[in-house]
Parts: sequence; structure tokens; C-alpha cells
Amino acid sequence: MPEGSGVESALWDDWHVVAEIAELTRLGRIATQLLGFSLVVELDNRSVIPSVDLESGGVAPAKVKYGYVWVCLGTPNRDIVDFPECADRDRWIVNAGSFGVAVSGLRAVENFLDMSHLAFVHAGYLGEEPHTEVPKYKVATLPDGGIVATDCKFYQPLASPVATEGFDVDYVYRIVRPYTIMLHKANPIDPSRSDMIALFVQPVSEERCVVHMLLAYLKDELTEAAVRQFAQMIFNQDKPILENQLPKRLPLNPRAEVPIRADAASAAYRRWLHEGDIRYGAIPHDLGV
Amino acid sequence: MSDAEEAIRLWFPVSRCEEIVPRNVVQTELLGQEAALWRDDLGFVNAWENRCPHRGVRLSIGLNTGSELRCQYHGWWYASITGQCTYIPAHPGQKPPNVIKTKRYGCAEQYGFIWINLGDQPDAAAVPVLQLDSYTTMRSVFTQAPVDLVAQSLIEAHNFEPATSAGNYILETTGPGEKSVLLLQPMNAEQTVIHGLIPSLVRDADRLSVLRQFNGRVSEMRDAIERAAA
Ligand code: FES
Ligand SMILES: [Fe+2]
Repeated sequence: MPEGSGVESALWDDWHVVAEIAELTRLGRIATQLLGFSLVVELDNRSVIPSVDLESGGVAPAKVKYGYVWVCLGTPNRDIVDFPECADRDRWIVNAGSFGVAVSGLRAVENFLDMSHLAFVHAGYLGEEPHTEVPKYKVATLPDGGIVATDCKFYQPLASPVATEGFDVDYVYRIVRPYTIMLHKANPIDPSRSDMIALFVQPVSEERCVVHMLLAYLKDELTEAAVRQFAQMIFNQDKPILENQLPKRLPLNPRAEVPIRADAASAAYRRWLHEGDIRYGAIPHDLGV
Repeated sequence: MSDAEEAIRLWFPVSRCEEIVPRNVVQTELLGQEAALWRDDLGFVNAWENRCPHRGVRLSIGLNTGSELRCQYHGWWYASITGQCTYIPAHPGQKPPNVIKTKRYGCAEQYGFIWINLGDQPDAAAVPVLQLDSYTTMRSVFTQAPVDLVAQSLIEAHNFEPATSAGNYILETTGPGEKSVLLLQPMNAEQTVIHGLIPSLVRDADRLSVLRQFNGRVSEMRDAIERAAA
């Protein structure tokens, strides 16, 4: 960690998405922020590897993967998260959008993990009253670190752009990095296979983030534009809720906010962040409730 | 005791009563704390900390059903008066634990305003007493300036003086004749709301012109105070 960055190595020395490559190709140059530091990503016409200039005058390593530009501000200590689904030929790999939100990225990850808001915030699409019950599901830790929630079932009236009627959808959530979460969801046409949605959350600052969404959908009758539109409509329902959370950073003390059984995954996520001493975007225990 | 600790124990007006209408929720701020104000169908006004105990979403974006407030995020219900959580849709068959309650602030309706108190033991008898037989509330004016500065300029440059012994939060015009009363709401360290009332009943026919005149005057003072604060 460079002196004075103040950011824990688990984040500083890891890769983070900062832009869509399509957007960068179109614009040639994108100025953004990561972990509180300003940077400029530039695409030279001879190279597909963007260069990253830091406001401090230094440069940082960059890579392109899954249609996104990834940057590491420190010394990379691990690879970019692996998504085997992205190699499947019968899937659309869609950059479904990048959404700025005025809240800690950890709150955005937690919201994505949360089944009990679906019937309210996404009423008519991902849930609907009176189907509000969240049945018991399982939560475990992943061998490489992280949290997995399995056996998640939730009634959805219109789970995807191709769904025509409501049914119980099976989900598996995996949090693989503090700011990265993916969801596997049974495909409405072929329930033996699943669609994948990943969120790469860019911590712009402790209280601001950009949520980059990646979809790996089976190629049903679906156009890429329809997938993008659906994702954006859904995210627009989450944004005002996220921006009305107080405090904006995620409290890790279990007494700060009251969890119930349906929040087992969120409680495990907070515990895992606490145990890993992740502080960026969080309110650690020792700072009180 | 510091001014801030002292202020926590006081009552402040935060809204005109008529603005807290049924089936609505209003957000306000006092001494840096956000509150959600809502009136149930029987007329009771609730003033709660503006965060859902569950995941911190502002209760002011929730739904007032007339007997409870429902949070927008996961639809939890909180009963009027007690703040008790009465229903958790994710577990519809279970009674929510008694410990799940909103944080309630002291709340009273007096002189046409909603008064709140952030302290742990709000005593409604301690709402300031104004010598008024009748009154008409004016439009409240938001000011981008700290409360001390607002009070100081009103006293030094605009002919106001403290109306009670309880400090500079309640001021009245000096001199003889009908007095105007200004009530200051310190929102936070930078912002203040000036609430106003005149100590008489205004005939309906005169209401509009009286309100206009008062509002014009307070707005001018506000502009002068903001210029001084800038
Ligand atoms: S945050 Fe209010 S019900 Fe969950
Ligand atoms: Fe959502």
C-alpha cells in the first residue's frame, strides 16, 4: 500500500472495474475516481490496453475483461474474478449498464443480495404482494473467501424479459470480493440452466459508487437491447432506495441495524467484511453503532 | 453543559400543524437529526428518527396508512404512537419481536406548530409558553445561516428581542403595538428555519395581504442575514 492511501490492501491491491470498454472506445478517454483517487483511462489507437494516469502523476496497471476496463491502484495480488459462463457460446454477454449511486458500494452489494425487497421495490417484476415470504435458505462461506447463499426461492411475476407468467425462481448468490457479487438464477425457459448476473461495484469514494452490471443470459428470444433495458428499469427502482439509506456507509456492528432471519445472507456479509477488516465504505465496530 | 447538550433538552417548532396532513409523511431536521413527521387518522402526530430500524431507509419516503407507517424498502409496518413494528412481510406468520421499534422523539402541537424534543425524557409541559390569546401562523422561511447568527442579526439589526427567558430561539418585535413572534429552528450547524406568528386572529379577508407583508419582511431579513453569513 502506498503511504497515505489509507485503503486496506484487500481493496487497494485488487482489480476494480472503472469503465465499459465500449464507452471508452467511443470516447477515447474517461476521467473517473476509484477509492477516492482521480484517474484518467485512455485508449491509444494502436493498443487495446488502456493506460491509466493517476492524479498523483503515476500510472496504474489496467486490463480489459468481460467488456470492462479493470484497474488496480496498488500491486495486484490476485487475478480478476473468473466467470466460466462468459465462455459459453450460447450466451449473450451483456454489459447491462453502469449506474452511479450516492451510497457506499457495500450497501449496493447488500441490496443485490436481498430477497425481501423484491416484492416492494420491484413490485410487478421481481416480486409482488402477497408473495412476500422469504423461505429459509442456506448461507456458507466460500473456500476462497466470500459468502454463498443457496436454496433461495422467491416468487416472481416477471423474472426476466422473456418470462410471461409468475413462478418460484431459484437463486444462488455469491459474494466473491467485498465489492463483487454474482447471482445465478434459473432460466425461465430451461430451468436446468441458469442465467448469471454479476455486479462489479466501483467504490468511487466511501459514500459513492458506480454499479457495473454484467449479464450472461442464455440466447432465448432475447435481444441485447431488451436485456439492457430490463436491467436499467430494475436498477432505477433500487437507486432511490439506496440513496435514502442513512448512514450512507454500511454499519458492520450487528446492533446498528436489526436483522431478521431473511437477512441471514446480509448478516453473514457484514460479519465477513468485519472479519476481513474491510473498512472502506463501512462503519467498523470500533466506531460504535 | 455545552450549548448543544443544552439544546437537545429544549423543544423546537419544526413545522406548521396544517402542513402535517393525514396520509402523508414529512421530513424535517433539528440539530443535525432528521425526523419523519406523520399524522395518523385520529389526529395524533408522530415524530420519529428518520431511519427504519431494519436497514436505515428514511421513513419519510414511507407510506402513511392512517394507523401505521410502512417502510418502502421491505414493507415493515410501524404502529402510530408506540412506533412498535407490527408486521414483517418476509415472515408473515411471525409476530415481530417487541424490541423492534422506531426511535421516537417528543412531539407536541402548540400555537399552530409541531414542536419536537430530541432528549431522552421529553416533558410536554416544558414547551415554551408564549403570552398569546390568539395567533396566526405565517409561512416558514429557510435560511442558509447558523442559528446564533440569525438570532444575533435579528436582535442587532432588525428590532427583535428575546420573548422568553429561554434564550434566543424565540424572539419578538421590540416596542409598543402588536408584536410579531419569530421561532427559530436550528436544522444543523449551517441552516436555520425562521417560523413566524402574529398574536392575533386575522380576518379571512385580510389574510392574504397580511401573509404577503410578513413573508416579504422575513424574506428581506433572511437575505440580509445570508449576505452577512456568506
Ligand atoms: S429498511 Fe425499512 S423495512 Fe427494511
Ligand atoms: Fe433491487
